[in-house]
Amino acid sequence: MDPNNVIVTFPELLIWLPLAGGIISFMLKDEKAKSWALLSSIITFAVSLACLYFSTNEWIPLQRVSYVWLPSLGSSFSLQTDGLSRLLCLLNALAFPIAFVATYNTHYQKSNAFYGLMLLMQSGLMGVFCTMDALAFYFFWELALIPAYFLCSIWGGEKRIAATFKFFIYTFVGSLFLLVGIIYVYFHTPNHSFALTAFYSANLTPAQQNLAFWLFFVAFAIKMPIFPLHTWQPDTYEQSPTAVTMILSGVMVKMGIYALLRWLLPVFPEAVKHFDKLIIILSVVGMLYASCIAIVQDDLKRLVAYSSIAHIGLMSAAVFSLNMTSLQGVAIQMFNHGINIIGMWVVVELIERQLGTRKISALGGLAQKAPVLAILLVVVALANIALPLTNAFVGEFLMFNGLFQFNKWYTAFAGLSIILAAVYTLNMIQRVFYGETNAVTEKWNSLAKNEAIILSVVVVLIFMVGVFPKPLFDLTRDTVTSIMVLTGSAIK
Amino acid sequence: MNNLVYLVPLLPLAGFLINGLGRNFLSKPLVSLIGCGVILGSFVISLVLFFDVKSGHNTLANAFEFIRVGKLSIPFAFQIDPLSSLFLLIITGVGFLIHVYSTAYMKEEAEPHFARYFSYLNLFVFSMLLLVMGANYVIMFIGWEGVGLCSYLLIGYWFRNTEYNNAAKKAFVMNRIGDLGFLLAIFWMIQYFGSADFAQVFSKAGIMPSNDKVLVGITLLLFVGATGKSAQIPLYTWLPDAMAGPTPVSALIHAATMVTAGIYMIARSNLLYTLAPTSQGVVAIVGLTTAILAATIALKQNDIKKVLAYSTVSQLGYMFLGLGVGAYTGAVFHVMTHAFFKALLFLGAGSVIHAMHHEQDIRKMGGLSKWLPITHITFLLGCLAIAGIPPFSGFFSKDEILNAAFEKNPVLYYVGLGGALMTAYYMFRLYAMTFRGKFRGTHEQEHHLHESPAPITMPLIVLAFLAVVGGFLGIPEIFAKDAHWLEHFLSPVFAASTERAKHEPMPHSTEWTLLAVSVVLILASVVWAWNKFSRYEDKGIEETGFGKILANKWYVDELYDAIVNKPLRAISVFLNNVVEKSAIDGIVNGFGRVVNYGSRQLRLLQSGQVGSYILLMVIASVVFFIIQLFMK
Amino acid sequence: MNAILFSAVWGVVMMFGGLIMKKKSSPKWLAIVGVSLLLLLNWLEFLGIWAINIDTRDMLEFNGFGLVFNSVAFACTLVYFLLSGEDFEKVGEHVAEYFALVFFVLCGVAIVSSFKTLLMLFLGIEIISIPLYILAGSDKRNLKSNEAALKYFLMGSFSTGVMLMGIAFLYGATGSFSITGMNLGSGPLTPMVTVGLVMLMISMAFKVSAAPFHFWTPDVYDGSPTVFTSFMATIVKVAAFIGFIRLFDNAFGKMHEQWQLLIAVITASTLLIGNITAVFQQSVKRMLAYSSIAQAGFMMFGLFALNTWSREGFILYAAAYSLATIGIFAILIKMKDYTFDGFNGLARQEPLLALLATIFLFSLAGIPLTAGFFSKYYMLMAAVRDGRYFWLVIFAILMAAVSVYYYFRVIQAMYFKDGNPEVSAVSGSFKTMLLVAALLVIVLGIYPQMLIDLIYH
Repeated sequence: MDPNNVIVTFPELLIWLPLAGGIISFMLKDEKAKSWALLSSIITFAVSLACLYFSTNEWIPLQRVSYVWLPSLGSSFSLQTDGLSRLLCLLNALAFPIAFVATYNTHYQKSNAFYGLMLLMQSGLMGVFCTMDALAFYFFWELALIPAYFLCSIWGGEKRIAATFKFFIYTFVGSLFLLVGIIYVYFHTPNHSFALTAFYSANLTPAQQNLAFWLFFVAFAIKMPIFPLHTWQPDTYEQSPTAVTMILSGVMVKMGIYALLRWLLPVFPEAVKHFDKLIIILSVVGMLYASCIAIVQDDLKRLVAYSSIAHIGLMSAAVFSLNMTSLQGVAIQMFNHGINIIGMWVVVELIERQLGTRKISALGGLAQKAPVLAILLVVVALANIALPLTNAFVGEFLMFNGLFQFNKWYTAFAGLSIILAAVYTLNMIQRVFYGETNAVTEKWNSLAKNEAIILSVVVVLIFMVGVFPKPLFDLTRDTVTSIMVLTGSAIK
Repeated sequence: MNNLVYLVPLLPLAGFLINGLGRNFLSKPLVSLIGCGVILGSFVISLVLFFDVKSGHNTLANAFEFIRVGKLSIPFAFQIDPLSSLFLLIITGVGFLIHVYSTAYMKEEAEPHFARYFSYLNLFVFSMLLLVMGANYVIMFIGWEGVGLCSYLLIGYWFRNTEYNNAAKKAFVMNRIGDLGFLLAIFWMIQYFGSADFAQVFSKAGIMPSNDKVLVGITLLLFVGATGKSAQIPLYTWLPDAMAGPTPVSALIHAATMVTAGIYMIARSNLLYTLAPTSQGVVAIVGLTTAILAATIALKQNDIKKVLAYSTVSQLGYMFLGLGVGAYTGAVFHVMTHAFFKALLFLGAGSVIHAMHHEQDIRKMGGLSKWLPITHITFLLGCLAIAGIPPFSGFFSKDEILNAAFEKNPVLYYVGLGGALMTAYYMFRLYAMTFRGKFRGTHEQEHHLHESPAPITMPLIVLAFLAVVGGFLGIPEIFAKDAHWLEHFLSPVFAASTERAKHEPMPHSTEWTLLAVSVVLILASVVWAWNKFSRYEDKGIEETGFGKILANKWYVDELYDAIVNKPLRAISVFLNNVVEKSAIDGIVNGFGRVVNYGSRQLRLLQSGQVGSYILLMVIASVVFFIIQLFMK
Repeated sequence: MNAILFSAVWGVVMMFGGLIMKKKSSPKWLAIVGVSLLLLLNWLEFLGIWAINIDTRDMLEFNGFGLVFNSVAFACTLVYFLLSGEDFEKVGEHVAEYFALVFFVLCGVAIVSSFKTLLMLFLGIEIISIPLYILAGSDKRNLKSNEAALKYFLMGSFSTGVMLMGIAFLYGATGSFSITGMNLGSGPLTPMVTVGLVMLMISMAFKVSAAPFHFWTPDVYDGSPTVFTSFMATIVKVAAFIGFIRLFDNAFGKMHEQWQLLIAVITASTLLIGNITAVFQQSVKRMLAYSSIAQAGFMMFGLFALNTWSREGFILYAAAYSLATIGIFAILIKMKDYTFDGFNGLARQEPLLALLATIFLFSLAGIPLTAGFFSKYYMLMAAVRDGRYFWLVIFAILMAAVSVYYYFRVIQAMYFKDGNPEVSAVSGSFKTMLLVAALLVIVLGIYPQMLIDLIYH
């Protein structure tokens, strides 16, 4: 086909397909919704693969589109994908089928609404990763949040309402700051426009940059989250239904980091260089802090939540180290972390559904009852602590390396977290899988086909990327380089 | 040639995958066949490579691009040179023997677990091969952590036993501490030299002034890594606990191969160390101290494997001493001989344990020579080798190290010799208590005593042979000119260092005296121990005084527990319960509370009384006038 | 002009119609016809077609801005009639009169949106207020209603007094009533003018129920029949605002900086009191009363900034706010129990109602994809553009976050809590109307441009 007269472009497809899927799902009968959602998400996944494939220069017209939206505001609904967006769209498109298959045996009340909201969330996330207009970005940023709020509050655990409300208001405050920030920058763009490019060429004095920087950063920091703005996360992860938690931690958290790369670094390079130390210190402290807390968690979900906070801390530290290696590490780690943590949640989900508890202290000896599960979990857990030849190693190696180039001592301290990570991860493995079985773990019957398959998929991904990360590098290299150029940092 | 190079690690990997995935379908014989076959395969290839290297041809095989960011490029590349080819032979050779041994030793295991065991073992060999074949520090690190993982898996192989799991966890975590050092070293190299390739790093470092602080930093960090993997002070305490694993594992991983990774790493980076005398000094001191400390502990241990474990720590200490005083060849030499005799000793111990039905306390043994002839002879040869009695292998390697130490500083030599005497003493205490005197176990044990089957005894014999003759690869000058084959073989690797650290070899007279003195003293302590413990009676008396301290390993574990584990846990609990819940989250929820409180207060303004409303409005108006008229 | 005349006439028509028409429901239709015609005529004027052309001697001025506002106000009234018209009948016997009063109010609205002299402003404000006093007390048998009417009247007359005095001062200072004729220039304010200005500000602040002159609002809104509260809180409030803005923009615009601080103070205190107090309320009706104050706080930005963004934004805000509030009130009227718990489990029982209520609440909270977002957005834009008192913007968004708290309590009740709320029967047509209103809210939330463009038509 000729790319120059296309009916619909990839970013549009990626956004509208889940949206349509979601709306349809609302109209379906309960029992049908589940399979429909799965189908829809698989189609989206296929599209995202195609989007990766047709990304060479002659296909550019397929990757970008722009509509007039609010001319008087200088905002247009413009979508475009570059390597980074494509990678995250892929992650997003991959996460949902995994989540759906993994939770296929869980039945949700009014599942048509459940899956409908899920797909709406996917659409919103796609928008965040594809849009190149600040106002549209803000729109999607919020729209991804609303379904999450309903999903957690309706289908969550018993403390869900309070927990998710806190989550919502917390992130909403952040978003409002972002909104003001966007407006603020808007008025400093040449010929007042919301276009990303216009933001990149906004002329702000250092003082103005510092102000706007914080308006943006708070929003992203809450979403990621960065210590000490993280307290909403463990409660939310604990209370949400696991399928939602997978998306929250696997994809939504990446919104924050993605936003840092796309909307913060290139827009406020001066301010970034001005505050980098402060934020890196915060992140490093957060890493150690979260790792320590993870050691003493008894709830599997909380443990994973805190370990995730630690990992995100490393990512933000790497982002603000602002050098080729660190950014490259972040770019591919976003994908890897998503895959790994989803894998962790899958295991948690299985254990909770079959044994009715997430309490580590109540479990034990599962390796005898469920050897396959044990093996798969061990692999995922090892990926989680970035063992070589698992996907996370490449990312963390580069991020630490980049951080080291920024400052040796910070790296040394941050490095302690890999030791702590080993401690809590091995503790968890031991107390859940090793030792003798007990009354609870005796109840384990077997691992369903779909669950085994999905976990195997995760494991395969882990090793594929871990051994041969080249594709991810090639995918994100251009974006990273352009960020380096925009921030005026030396490329080495 | 390259494809052969790839095959070396790929075969064990294949073995791991087949045994691992097929654990429920494959029969034991099949598993054993695959498990041992792949290792034999890579041993044969290693031989080919070895001769290829011997003919002066090194290979650099670049598999594929692993990481490339900006100017930094880290290929997945393998390097075959004298050093790595030698290690390849040790790993695959000894590894093969131990695989064979395991087929018999692990017989009682259920089929899936049997397969699991062999897959782990194969995986270990794979990682170890990566470690020594890697052409840059990153690949080395990959193998480095890989072997750590396998050691974790194998120590905790009997995963139902919590004790064992703890031991496994301890091993992994302590290794990780070291790994962090290694990692930081790599980052520093990448930052400073712009590459992690051996070739590039060394060529760039070669032109740097001696004791440059970057070099010192890097080498010290590397050494931190080595202390973790090779069980040196302060990170050695995991190794004795690691004896929880099956005995063949202890032989392969915790004696012959993995624990020598640290020595390999430093030998590989010899140039960096030669250029950083400060770090060299540290290495020497730490090595020697470890050697002595471990030896003293070994004097009072009664678990057959524990004794061997501490002796391993001690021997590793000697190797580091060697590296520290610049006797790189000597260190590698000792790695090799140690691989032979220590593997032999462990396997022998295994055979004893096997015969004694998993009894490991030597106080309950004695006089086993009568039932286990082969085990007995081979074990004795092993003891002679480790004790350093000519002409057994240990003698040559240990002597080379000690002489080098003497050249550096006599004090090192004397202390080292003291350690050697202790070694001789505790080894023969062990030997005597196990094989001499009369049997002290239960009758039912005595009834079952028997020599182990061929798969167990064969490796013993082979290793015993190697332990006896292995030393002739490095015959010192004083016996014969240019007879030190190993030095000659490895010279290309250490060339750069040797020409930098040129020194006058000590006069032969001194060397002869030293030799005589040491041999005499060692023989003396051997005889002493032999006599003392051949007539050992188990009176069940508790150790007292200094002996108690030694028996309790200088209370180091307790110390670590007190200064690391307990505080860490306390901090975590504090952070979780106080900082997280009360402080940070408290502030967050505080906002909510403030709003609620404010709401309750503000609402009181809404009294419902028109009068008060009007009043408030009037006041407000007045305020407005004031602002507008006077406060602009 | 058309609007002023026709609304007055139709008010009278409604009254007589009331005498003729026997069926209780028929006045509603008459009113709907009337307001539709009103809308049409206003639109015609927009296109320059006049019913009768009277020379107002520069007392009134009909520009696009005012006319667009009128059409917004009338459109909202139409929606209001369609949604809550039948609830007039529940209030009392004299349905027709109520409608008539509403039409008189609309007449006042039309004047306030086009006045050019202070007298006309005063006239308009009074024409708006007096019918409301009656409507507030229309539920005669209900004490609260009577009390509300009395309070409203007492305090209303207070503010009227203040306003007249302010006008007098200005006249004294300038010798003119015309808001342009006074030509005060941009020089420093003389004490006389200052006093007049502040007094006008106070009285107008009272009308738009901005703190600290808002005290009447909660009591009156709470006490009056809900159906009229809905009207007061929306069309009337925004009408008062248009007057406020017109006055200060034209008369005192040039010396903007000199009184901006005072507006900032009013804005801040309005946001604070409105939002914070709303948090603690247990009755949704009373919460909405406070929320209307909070929203007024945001609308004050229209006065604070006085730039294109604020003008465009205000129109948008008027429409978005009125629509959403009318909608949510229309649903509230159907509830038997006005407390938050009264809404428990509405989503199961009346999914559509709950969904629509959610949309309206989203709009009030300013969530994207609803008109409420863009209206708030424009206001922030105006404030940021103006640049002075940046802290006010930060304060405003924090308060917006607080507002989410009480709006979402209703959503939580409807969706996340269980219970079986009593809902009086709702006709299908009602639901359709509500749906249309909600769609309008969303359309404005996606493409506000269509409304903005009208101003520059």
